[in-house]
Amino acid sequence: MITSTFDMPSSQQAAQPILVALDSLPKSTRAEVVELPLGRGALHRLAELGIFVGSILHIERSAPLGGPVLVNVRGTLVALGRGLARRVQVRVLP
Amino acid sequence: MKLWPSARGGCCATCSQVPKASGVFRVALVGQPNCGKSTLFNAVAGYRSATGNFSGTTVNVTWSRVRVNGLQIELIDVPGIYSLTASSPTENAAKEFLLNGHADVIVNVIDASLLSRSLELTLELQELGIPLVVCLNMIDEARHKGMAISSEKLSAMLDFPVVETVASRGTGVPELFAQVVARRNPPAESPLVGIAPWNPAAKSGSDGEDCHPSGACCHEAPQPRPSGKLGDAGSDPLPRPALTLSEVCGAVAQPVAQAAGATVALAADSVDDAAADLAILQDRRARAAGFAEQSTTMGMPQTDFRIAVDNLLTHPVWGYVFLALLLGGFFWAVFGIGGWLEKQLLALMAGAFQPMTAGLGHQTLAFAVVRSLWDGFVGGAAIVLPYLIPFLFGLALLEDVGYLPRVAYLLDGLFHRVGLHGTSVVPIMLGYGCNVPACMSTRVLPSRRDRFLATVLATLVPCSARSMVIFALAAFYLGPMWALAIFAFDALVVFLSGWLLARLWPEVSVGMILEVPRYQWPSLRMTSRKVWLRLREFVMVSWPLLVAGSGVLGLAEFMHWDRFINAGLSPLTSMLGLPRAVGVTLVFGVLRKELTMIMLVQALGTTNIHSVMSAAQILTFTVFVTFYIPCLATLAAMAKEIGKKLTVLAAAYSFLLATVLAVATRFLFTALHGI
Repeated sequence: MITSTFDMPSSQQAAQPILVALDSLPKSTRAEVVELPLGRGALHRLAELGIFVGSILHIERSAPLGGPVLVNVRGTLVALGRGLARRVQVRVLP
Repeated sequence: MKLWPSARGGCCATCSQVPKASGVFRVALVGQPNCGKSTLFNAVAGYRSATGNFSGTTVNVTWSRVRVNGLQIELIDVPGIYSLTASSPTENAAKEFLLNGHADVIVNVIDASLLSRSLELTLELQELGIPLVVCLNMIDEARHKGMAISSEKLSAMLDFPVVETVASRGTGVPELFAQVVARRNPPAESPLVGIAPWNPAAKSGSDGEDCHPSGACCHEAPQPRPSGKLGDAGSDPLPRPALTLSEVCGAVAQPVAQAAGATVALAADSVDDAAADLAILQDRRARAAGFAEQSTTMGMPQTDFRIAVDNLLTHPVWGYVFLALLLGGFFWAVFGIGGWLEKQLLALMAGAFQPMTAGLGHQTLAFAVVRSLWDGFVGGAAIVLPYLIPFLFGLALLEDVGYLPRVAYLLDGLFHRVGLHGTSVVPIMLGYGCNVPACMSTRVLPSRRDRFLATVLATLVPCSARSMVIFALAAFYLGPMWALAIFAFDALVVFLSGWLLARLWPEVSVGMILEVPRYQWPSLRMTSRKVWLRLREFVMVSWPLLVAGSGVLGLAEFMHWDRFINAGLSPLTSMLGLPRAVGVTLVFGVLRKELTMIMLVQALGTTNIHSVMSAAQILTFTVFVTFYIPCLATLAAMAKEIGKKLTVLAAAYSFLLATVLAVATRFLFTALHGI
């Protein structure tokens, strides 16, 4: 219930998902959040905005100069600072 | 609907308790940030609560008494919260209010287009046991997205009334309040663990508009019910595990913890609270998603041109080009309109002065007083207002459209380089309007250090009053390029100061998590009312002060008192190479920044400044006024936000900065121009 990795059908579980950092993805990619190694405050704020392990993000674009990544989650646009986005591990969805 | 002429903030600096007169029917507007609570509040109470299209516009609990269908209601605008777990002081204020303030009915305002996420808070509020009415606001937005929400179904599932509204147009507001009134007669039961209802009898017959007479305010621990303990959840009539542990322990239980201390501490220790939190959140999320899904039919979304606009405005290259063009255009528009009006009005008023004082001799006291009062009036009408009105209007438009979070998005990378939080862009941008709300808006930042940095930087930004000085002095006498240069230079100083302060107080920033709202088409009516709300501050407070201050200065000059002040400040004025008479204007400037300009006119005895001050002097004076010590109101706001000690430090820093920069300006300008 807490980590969706274990909720996946067994066929997918066998093939380990390739995890990538959120900030490394190009725009217009869809990705599922797999790991959120963040502090409690940040976790909570993200969860309130709809970003938690298992939620699906659509990467809208990233700002230049090491700026934030803009993601769309359930219709809400959220700007995530680059340092934070780097720690968010996601699995790219087709 | 008739309204009472009172809208106020919280009762004291550090709390959000709204004192309640017994028997008053209290309705709190609660919802997630940027869902339109303040818009709804204003629709009912007139424009009293500032609105803007970004999270955290409202940082204070604001209330107003209104009359709906013959019933007197105390309507309360609560700052936006995502959930009852607060992570910033603003949210803490909201939460504290909800848990201690005892609203009779909560109107849960929801952004209908974000139904699932918003219902999570609804479910949490439901657990408080206070009668709820859901206001499905921005229903037009939801339809635009192709969402057909059945409020009947939603109402049946949630078991309380759901009313559809478009608060910005007033649609559905009367129906909403009809439901609110129908929900009167709340159960007297206090729903939460161990917190007794606040007892109005404890507060002796004060007028209901001030702090509690004991002076203890809401920090006074509420008395726990004799039977109430954290472990008593079993006796709670609510069917669900109420709030998560951290929600209870976080801020609510502080007063309780003192009374029932051990129980809370033990409970917190014995449970793996982080896991429990998450489990409860997940459960709530699943239920909210279920409700949203069952009540909504998805159709085809209409094409949204705002996506194309956003693609351009947040584009890696064009986004910055547009930002520069926008700020430049804004500047030229304000200067163009203001400069033209200033010339016309000054000429007009100069003509009116002669016949008015025809009967008075030139060396009499009466003449000196009338002339200085008149100068104060002219300063407000002809020098400040022509720039202030277009300036405030442009800023209000930017806020209402929702552009500020985009600026934060564009500049976060740059800000991060100097060790700042991208979110501090919003307070800094607001600083151009007025430094006071800018300081208050730093409350949305999570860390104390970030709040301090943002506050100091926001006060270095020229507020509308100081911008008026820049426009009316540098732009008017030296040319618009000089004013533009001062604004650009100020931005650079803010940036470098941020870099310096971030190094003096190093801390790894959490990183920005900022909701970027949809663009909203600004309503001319709302924007004008917002401009008027801010303009009223000038007309009611600053302008009379200008006239009175000018009169006092005229009197002082006539009696030759001003030379004491000027003599005291002569080391500073001579260092800056300014006329001695300028000294006294700088003292007045700490009261209100517009005063420096008006006082200058008064002190020098002419509205044509350039006839008595050289270009170098005008520029030096403008630079000094742009940076030196924040005005009194700002100092008070700073003290509230970051504490007295840091405020004194920040003021000293700005004074030092102003002196160094003004001296540098003086010598550089003189060296370059050979004047």
